[in-house]
Amino acid sequence: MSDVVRVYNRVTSMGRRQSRIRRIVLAAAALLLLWLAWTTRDSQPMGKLIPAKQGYQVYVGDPMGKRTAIAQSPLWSLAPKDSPLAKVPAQLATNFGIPEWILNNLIYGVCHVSGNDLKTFGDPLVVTRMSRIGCLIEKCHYVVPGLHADYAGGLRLRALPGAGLFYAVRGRVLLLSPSRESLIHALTLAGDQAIGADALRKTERELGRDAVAARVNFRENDALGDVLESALFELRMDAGSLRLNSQMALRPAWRERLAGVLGKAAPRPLTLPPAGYLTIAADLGESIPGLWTGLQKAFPATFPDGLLAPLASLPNMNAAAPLLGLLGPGLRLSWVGMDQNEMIPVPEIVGACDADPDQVRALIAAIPAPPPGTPPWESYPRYDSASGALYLPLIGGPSMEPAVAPYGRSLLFSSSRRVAENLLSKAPLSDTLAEPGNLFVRLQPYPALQSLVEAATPFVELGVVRGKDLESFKQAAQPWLDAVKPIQEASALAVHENGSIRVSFALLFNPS
Amino acid sequence: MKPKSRTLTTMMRSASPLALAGSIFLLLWCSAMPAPALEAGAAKVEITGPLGAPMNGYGDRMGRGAVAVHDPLWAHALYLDDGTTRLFLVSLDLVMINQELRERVLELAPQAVPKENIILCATHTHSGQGAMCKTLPLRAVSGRFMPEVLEATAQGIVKAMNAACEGRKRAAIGYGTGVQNNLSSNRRYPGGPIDPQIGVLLVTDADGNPIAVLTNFAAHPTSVPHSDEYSYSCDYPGFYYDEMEKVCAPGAVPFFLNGAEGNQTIANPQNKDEWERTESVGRLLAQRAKEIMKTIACGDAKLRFSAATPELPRTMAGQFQPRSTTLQTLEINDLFVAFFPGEACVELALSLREQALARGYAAQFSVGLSNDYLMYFIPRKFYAHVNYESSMNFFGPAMEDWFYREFGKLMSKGTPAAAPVVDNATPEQIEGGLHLKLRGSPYALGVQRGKAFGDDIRARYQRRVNDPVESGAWLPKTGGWAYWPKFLDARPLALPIMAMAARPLLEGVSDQAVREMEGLADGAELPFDAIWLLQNAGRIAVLDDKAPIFQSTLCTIFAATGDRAGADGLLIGRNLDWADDELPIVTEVHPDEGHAFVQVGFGWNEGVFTGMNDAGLVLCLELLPGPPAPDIKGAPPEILLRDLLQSVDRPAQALEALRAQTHLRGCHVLIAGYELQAPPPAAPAAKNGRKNGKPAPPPPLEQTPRAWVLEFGDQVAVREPVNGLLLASDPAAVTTDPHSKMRYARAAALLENERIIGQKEAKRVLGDEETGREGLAQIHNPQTRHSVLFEPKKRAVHVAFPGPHASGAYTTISLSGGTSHE
Repeated sequence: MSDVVRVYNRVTSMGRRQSRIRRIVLAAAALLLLWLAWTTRDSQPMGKLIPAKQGYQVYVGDPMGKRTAIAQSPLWSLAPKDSPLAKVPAQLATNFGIPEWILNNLIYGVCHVSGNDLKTFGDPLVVTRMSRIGCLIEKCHYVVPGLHADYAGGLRLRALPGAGLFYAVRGRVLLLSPSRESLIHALTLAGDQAIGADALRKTERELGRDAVAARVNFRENDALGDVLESALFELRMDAGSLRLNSQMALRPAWRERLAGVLGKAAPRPLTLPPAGYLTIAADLGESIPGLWTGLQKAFPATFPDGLLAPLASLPNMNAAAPLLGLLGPGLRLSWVGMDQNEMIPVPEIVGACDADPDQVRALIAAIPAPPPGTPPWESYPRYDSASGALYLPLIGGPSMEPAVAPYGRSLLFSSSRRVAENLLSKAPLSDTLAEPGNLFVRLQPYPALQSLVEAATPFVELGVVRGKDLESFKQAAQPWLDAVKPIQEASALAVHENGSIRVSFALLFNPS
Repeated sequence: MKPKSRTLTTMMRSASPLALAGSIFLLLWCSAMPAPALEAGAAKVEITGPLGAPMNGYGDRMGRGAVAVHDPLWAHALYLDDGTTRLFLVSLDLVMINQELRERVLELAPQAVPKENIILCATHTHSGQGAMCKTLPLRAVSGRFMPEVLEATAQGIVKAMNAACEGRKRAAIGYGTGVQNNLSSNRRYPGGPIDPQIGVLLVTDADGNPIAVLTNFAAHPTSVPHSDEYSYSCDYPGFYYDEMEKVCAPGAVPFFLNGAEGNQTIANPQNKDEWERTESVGRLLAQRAKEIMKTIACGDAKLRFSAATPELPRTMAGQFQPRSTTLQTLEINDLFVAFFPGEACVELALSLREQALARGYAAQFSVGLSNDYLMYFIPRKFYAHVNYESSMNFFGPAMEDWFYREFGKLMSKGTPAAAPVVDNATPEQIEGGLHLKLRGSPYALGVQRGKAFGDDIRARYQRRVNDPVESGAWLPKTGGWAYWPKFLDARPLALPIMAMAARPLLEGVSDQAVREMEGLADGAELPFDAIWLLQNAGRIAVLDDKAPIFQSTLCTIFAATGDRAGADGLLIGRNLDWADDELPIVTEVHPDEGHAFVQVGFGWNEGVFTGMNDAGLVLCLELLPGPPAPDIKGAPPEILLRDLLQSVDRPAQALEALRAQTHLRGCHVLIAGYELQAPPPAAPAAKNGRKNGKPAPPPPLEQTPRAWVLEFGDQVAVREPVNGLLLASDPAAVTTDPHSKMRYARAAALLENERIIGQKEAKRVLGDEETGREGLAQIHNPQTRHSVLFEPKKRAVHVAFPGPHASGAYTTISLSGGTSHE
């Protein structure tokens, strides 16, 4: 027997067995991972599953990422309290009852909605990409109660009859629609019938992840389909604003019909109107009389020939008529507010129209003075040589006394002498809007509504507003005031160019 | 000896002589102490509004601004303090005191005087500033609201009050009255009444120098020439101030207090034009006041200031008028001054003065336009005549009584008239209906009826008047109303206008009937105008040709006279067919004056469609469908019939009275009763006979039954019975409508078959439902609201309230007392 130290390996037979199992498990795990990777691979480009010729297409970049911004938007305050829209922020906050991690994985990245039914919107097809985990979750669909397999000739649809929905999964692409036909159509598209992966990638690149974009291709029997060929919309929303840009292509028949109105319209610098609750600046490149003729041609039923005939019989209209011929193409109009203290509350309107100042001055000065002995209170145009303005006393106070005056390179007109005098005492407004356009509208909804409520109050006190006493009127008005209070202003800029109309709409919210 | 005296005696016995003497001295000293001295101060401050601000007084200025100042406007303030009562009397050259101005002045007023003791009066110049009313309807006349004008005016007024208070000094006061007959005239009726009194209140200092002269005179300051319509001016009071300042000592402040100028204007005593006329009246007034001043002996005075805020009569113009208002009175020794918030017609002031003198006052002044503006106060007799003054009153004819009653309560002398006590009347159940007995004054009769049927009356007013106006059915489809937006409720404007339009229907209505209507309104808790509109809803509906209310007012009325009616010689039957549902009601009316009568018909309508009085006079009214429409002017026929039942004995009197009502159209009235006639001549022997050498007494008059039907169409026609039968409509007449033709032809056939028409036969006719005919072609039809038989001889009325298809059982009501059932 030798004294050699014998070293014993601790690996026993048990150990060897365990090691083998581990290897098997690892191999199995590797295989599982491989399988998972394989089954959840992004094998189908979304673009191949979206029909190219849909009536409308909506692209939503990163819908899940936008949820918070959307939920917090003051926009929802505009919805009536009991309407389904008003519940959207709460539903977004609770993820419609679905755990957030599931939702995040089911809708991962871009979401695309399209359809053809522009009347009832009964066939929207929602196409979105899932994450791998989302894919795996979907694989567990058999545990979802009320979910049925719909073989559909091998297309392997799944139906949720309770929700009236069908869906299918191709690779990591989830397709969802209430219309089985739409879904089947999307799954059986020939290569040239789909928008294609490249086109979708391009859209993603152009719009980024923050926008919601839509394209509508109108058919002639759709609502607005007789007027528009197509429309593109792009919506961006955050806590401070909502912006909607759209571009609409007019049908050739309407381009022709509106030629008298839009024929000369091209992007032009728009002079800002005087400040007010509602302001409008327009410049369609056509004089006011020309525009009127264009409107009469385009809409003969709405603007018949004799429509302005009663105006002609008004006193002093013969004197005012030559003025009208000078006006245009630029027109600014502002609803400055209400004079609550007049004999009855009256709106105060002021506007300015492009006009040759010399011609305006000459015409105003040519209006005959009142006959000698005419008392100062008689309704007769009164020329004030100091300001160059012409005033027409009617009834009531200065807020009910119309005025016209030369104003820079335009003619100022106002329903209120007070407002006119205020503007005439300062340098004429000449600032232009940052972006050229043809029509610009801006509304400050809260002060506008507040002044209307205030104007209606004396009538309510008088008892002539049906079904309302002061208390119930206040109660009825308050929700509207609350609804518009978060909105600082709403504005829209419309531009016409080559038969296409571009409209940029913006809602700016007050800082909360 | 009484216990109190015993105690006093005991005390005197127990008191020490020194204490007793002290007490007596104290008592004597106190009684000899003079009353606290009167202090007074007066001041004036200019309050002329800015040029460009709207003026107040004329709607046709349309809110346009003032362009010039002819003469400045003033606030005149008088401070009075007799040691216990302190007050400000402020006269302002404005058209009225509106609530916004009064509230602001009270906010700013000096603390020296309790706010409720501030009297603000306007001189009513129509050439003062407006711009101070926030209320929308008032802005139509006073122009746009300018807070800065309100503030400046209020500050000016308060400045005058402060100056008056600060300048107060020991003063004496006195008053006097004089007569004028050429400074004012009645602007509504040539030669109509004026207030001939000029009242002067003189306040002097301890040396007898005038501090203030207040002249009370009643006439509208509306004499500024049209060419200066937009110039500020005090009108004639401006010249009065100027003249008075000339004739008084320097520093004396002349005040002008306008009286009951509602229907008063200035005269033209010196036959001048335009401003010269204004000036002449102002200066003559001052000169007259100066003469009166000379008669006044000033001294210490006891002031007694009173105020009340009584509820006003109900009004349909509740959106424009308050529910209550402030009345103030000032008594200076035995002078009673009444301050009221509006423009009273002179008749009210003259009557109030009479009442004040009867209560022990030596003189009375009326000062209008004080503290508020309720528009015009008119005598009840004017309410029916729509002219400017009456159209500016929406409180009903009872406003006059309210005026006297409320001021009567504020008089410290005499005893106010006791408020009328009205017993409630409860309807008794009779077969198929209700039987209500009313007793008392006309007002009490109305209150009893109004209370008994208040719910029904209010519901009917709602349905027949309020609802058609609210829905727009009664709004004209022409003029401005055609553009009335649906979201606006026309009632606040349309109802007062309609009420005004219905007022001419009061012309010719007796004072008793009007007072009964006032009671009916109060009993039913509705405004007078609402009740009157309800009474005439049918006429208004017909005129508007829209609402078919009361369209089917077809009836069957007949009378049997002479032998055909049996022993009594007179029997009247009638069915009243009425489209609307009605409460089945018989009302027995026992007025304090005149005849008692029974009316069968309605709780809401005090008029008579079917009635008989205790003299046996029967009146039945039938309104005809279709044209000619009833006239909108003159008393409605049912109200005239009600008056006749109360006031007339004999059918011929009723016939003559109704024939004189030329305004009536579209109705038939059956008149029946007994005429007193001499008996037919007797045999010759008896005729010439003498008894015991004396001439035979004249034979007693006999009651002869008479009946007529008066047909009010384009002309008035009178028909009499033929063969003892008289129908209210002649079935053979071309003007009779088809349904009436059929119904009356059937009635004629049935009645002619009977030799004698007694109760049984008449009831059979009234209950006839001819086979083969339906609806209104039948005598008894689904719209029959009551069937009535009159036996005038017995003063008995047999009433049945039928169901839709059967005559009900008759109840007999006797005006000589008692009720019995079939």
